[in-house]
Amino acid sequence: MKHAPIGLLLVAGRLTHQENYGRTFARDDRCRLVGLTDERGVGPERDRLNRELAADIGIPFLPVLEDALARPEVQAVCVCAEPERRGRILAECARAGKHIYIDKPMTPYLDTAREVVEAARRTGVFSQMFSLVTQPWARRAREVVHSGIIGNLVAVHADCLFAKGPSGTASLGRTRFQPYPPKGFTFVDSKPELYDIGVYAIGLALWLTGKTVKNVYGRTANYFFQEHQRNGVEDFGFLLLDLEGGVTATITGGRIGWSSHPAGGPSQVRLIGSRGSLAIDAYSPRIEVYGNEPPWQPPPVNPRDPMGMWSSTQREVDTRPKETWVTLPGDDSPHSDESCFLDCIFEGRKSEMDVERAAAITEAILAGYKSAATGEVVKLPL
Amino acid sequence: MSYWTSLGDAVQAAVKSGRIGDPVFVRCTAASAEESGHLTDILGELAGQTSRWFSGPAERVLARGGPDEGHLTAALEFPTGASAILSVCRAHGRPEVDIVVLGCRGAVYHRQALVLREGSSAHPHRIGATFLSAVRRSLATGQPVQP
Repeated sequence: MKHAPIGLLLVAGRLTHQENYGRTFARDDRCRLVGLTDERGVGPERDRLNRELAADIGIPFLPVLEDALARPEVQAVCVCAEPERRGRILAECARAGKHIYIDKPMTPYLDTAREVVEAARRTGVFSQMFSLVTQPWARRAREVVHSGIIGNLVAVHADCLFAKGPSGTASLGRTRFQPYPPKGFTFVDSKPELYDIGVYAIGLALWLTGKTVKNVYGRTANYFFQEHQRNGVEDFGFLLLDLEGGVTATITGGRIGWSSHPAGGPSQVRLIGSRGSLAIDAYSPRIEVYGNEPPWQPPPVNPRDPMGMWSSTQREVDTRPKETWVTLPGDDSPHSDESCFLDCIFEGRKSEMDVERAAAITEAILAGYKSAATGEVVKLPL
Repeated sequence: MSYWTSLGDAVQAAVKSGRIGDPVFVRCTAASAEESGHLTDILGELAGQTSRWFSGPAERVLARGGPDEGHLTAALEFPTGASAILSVCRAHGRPEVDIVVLGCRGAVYHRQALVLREGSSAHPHRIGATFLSAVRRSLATGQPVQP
């Protein structure tokens, strides 16, 4: 049965992942973009970037979030505001009875995460945080777990490292001082990468095992970039997680430099079972293609985005794709994460990466920061 | 030359060449133990090789798993700030080793399906008694320990 398209509102514009999510939603005929909005008083730069993306996509700019949420045609909201503001906006949207699609991670604040979960529970809205669990290779990993061919899962090792940014500038030779609670999530030239990229690997580990986290041990580091060091945030981190049922998980998350990988960076899980083990990664199976064209070169540094975070700023410096590794097209047709969110709404089912799991990930990351600050294993709940 | 020796030498040569900058992190998963009793020895071998690439031993170790669980995982921290996660599990007839060495300006990758008994045992001279004692203490207490 064909449903009428739902009205979708975008929150935040250029230089956020709304550049990607907003355009993907715009192409899906199951939704209609009502407009792009944000909180009052976001400042002139954010306001300008918001208006620019609304113009890019060709949708109205609606200057006040609460007014936009009051529109009856708005049924869902895609929120990509900066991490410091994201959680409170999500809670407001959920309280207004709107389904929420969430840039990752949901929020760096545990009380805010719980507020979002409570609001979504109370109003019964559907929710989904962007993650890797909808990607074909991740689905294959879960099929392996569910098939039982490797026996009972005893350990999971997940890595998500982005081969981006001009590396080799960090001052090495000392252990990083990790503040707790962590300070600062939004910079032009860096992000706390255990938080921002580690979220993918933690999400995979929790989703694949279906387990809750009991204990966390974590370390953060400044291995690659002076920008992260200057801003007091890590460019790399790892966690060792004790999951319920005695399962061990380790995860790495970080930004490791443009030239550190033949594609986008290691993105993989290794499943250790009682009867076998298996590694599954985002680039397998693949072919490798070599020719006499010039070798891939990192793009020039764009001062508005030196680490290669956003699509628009990377287009400005003509960032070329790495083309040596070509992943084989699989049976599973490409199905975007955004599309999976719409599936959940139209089919009336809970997302596998809903606000409850997103909140559990926030708690695990914060426990990791606390562990990195104290050097101790941290018990959950915090 | 054994598999571990030749692999260790090749990585060491890549590190010494300066192509990846200073090595800062090692991720190794070795699904190569023929039986659970070999897990500890292979972990010791990996730790020995990692210490060589980092020019010194770890100062802190946290371990999980054990022979009864069919896997052994250790997080290692080094005085320079470098770190490693080393994991060993049983091969179950499909031995495979996956190593990533991150340098501050590049990386070394090695994913290799092994043949027969390659990688199934460790070099007895490189298994540090001090490291393995730390692994045992960490497994017993659940806490990070100093070797």
